[in-house]
Amino acid sequence: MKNKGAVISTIVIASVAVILALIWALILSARVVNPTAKIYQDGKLIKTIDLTAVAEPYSFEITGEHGANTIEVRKGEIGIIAADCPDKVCINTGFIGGGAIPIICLPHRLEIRIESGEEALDGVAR
Amino acid sequence: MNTKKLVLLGVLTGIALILFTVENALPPIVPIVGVKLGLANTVTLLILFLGKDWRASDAALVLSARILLSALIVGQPMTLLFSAVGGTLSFLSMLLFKRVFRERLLPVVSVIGAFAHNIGQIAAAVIVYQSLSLLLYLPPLLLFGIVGGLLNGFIAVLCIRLQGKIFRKIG
Repeated sequence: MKNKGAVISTIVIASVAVILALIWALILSARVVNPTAKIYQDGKLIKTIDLTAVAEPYSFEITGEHGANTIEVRKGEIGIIAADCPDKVCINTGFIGGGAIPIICLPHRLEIRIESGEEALDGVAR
Repeated sequence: MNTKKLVLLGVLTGIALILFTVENALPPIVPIVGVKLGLANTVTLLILFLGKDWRASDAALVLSARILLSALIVGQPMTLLFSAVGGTLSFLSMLLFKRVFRERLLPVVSVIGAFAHNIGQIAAAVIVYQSLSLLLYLPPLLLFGIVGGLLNGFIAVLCIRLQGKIFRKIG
C-alpha cells in the first residue's frame, strides 16, 4: 500500500499531539494550597511572599545586573507588569496563582514560582 | 562549487534570514518562551530534499550562516547559543530521519526537526539558567512544534514541486 507510511505517521503525530496537550493541561491545572510566591534571581531565592496574606495589591521593583522587573502582588496571584527586557514574555505570561507554570524572564534570569505554603510538595516544579 | 551554486546558496541564506526576521518582528502567537513557527527551517528542508547536486553540507552551510547572521539581528548572545544548539540537533535528526522517511514523508521529517530543535533549546536553557522548571515548557513547545513542523514541511514540499527545477540544474 502506497499511503501506509502517511497514514501511520498521521496517526502517530496526532496521538503525540493529544498526549502533549494532556500533559500541558495537567501542568496548568496543578493544585496548590496556600499559594506562596518564590522569586528567584540567578537561581537564588531572593524573596518569598505568602499570597494568601495579601490584603491590598502592591507592586515593587526587582533590579538585577541584567535589568529591572516590576512585580505586582494581588490576593492569591502575582505577575510581572513591567520589564525592560526585549521580549516581554514575562509580562505576557500574565498573573499566576497556581499551576506548575512559573513566570520566567530569561534575559534577567528572574523566575517566580508558586509553591504550596508550609509543606511544599513540588517535586515537579524543581 | 560553481558560481551558480554559490549564488543560490547566498540567495537561500537571504531567504532564510528574511523569514527569520519577519517572524521575529511579529508578536508571539502564544505567550510562551520560544514558541514560534520556525519558518526559516523551510530553507534547510528545501536544500536537504532537493537531491541531485545538493548535499547535506550545503544545507549545513546555509543553516550556520543563517544562525550566525540572525544572532546579529537579535543581538542577544544567549539566543545565539540556544539557536546553535537547537539548530545543530535539529539538522542532525532531520539528516538521520530523511533516510527513514524519504521525500514522500518530508513533513514528518520536518516535525522531527522541530522536536529536536525545541529539546535542544530547552536543554541548553536548563543548563545555562540552572532551572529545571524550564522543562515544564517542553509540552507546549513540542505541541506547537508539530504545528510549525507540519506547516514548514508542506511549504517545503510545495517549493520543491513548483520551483525545484530552478535549483536542480546546476552547471
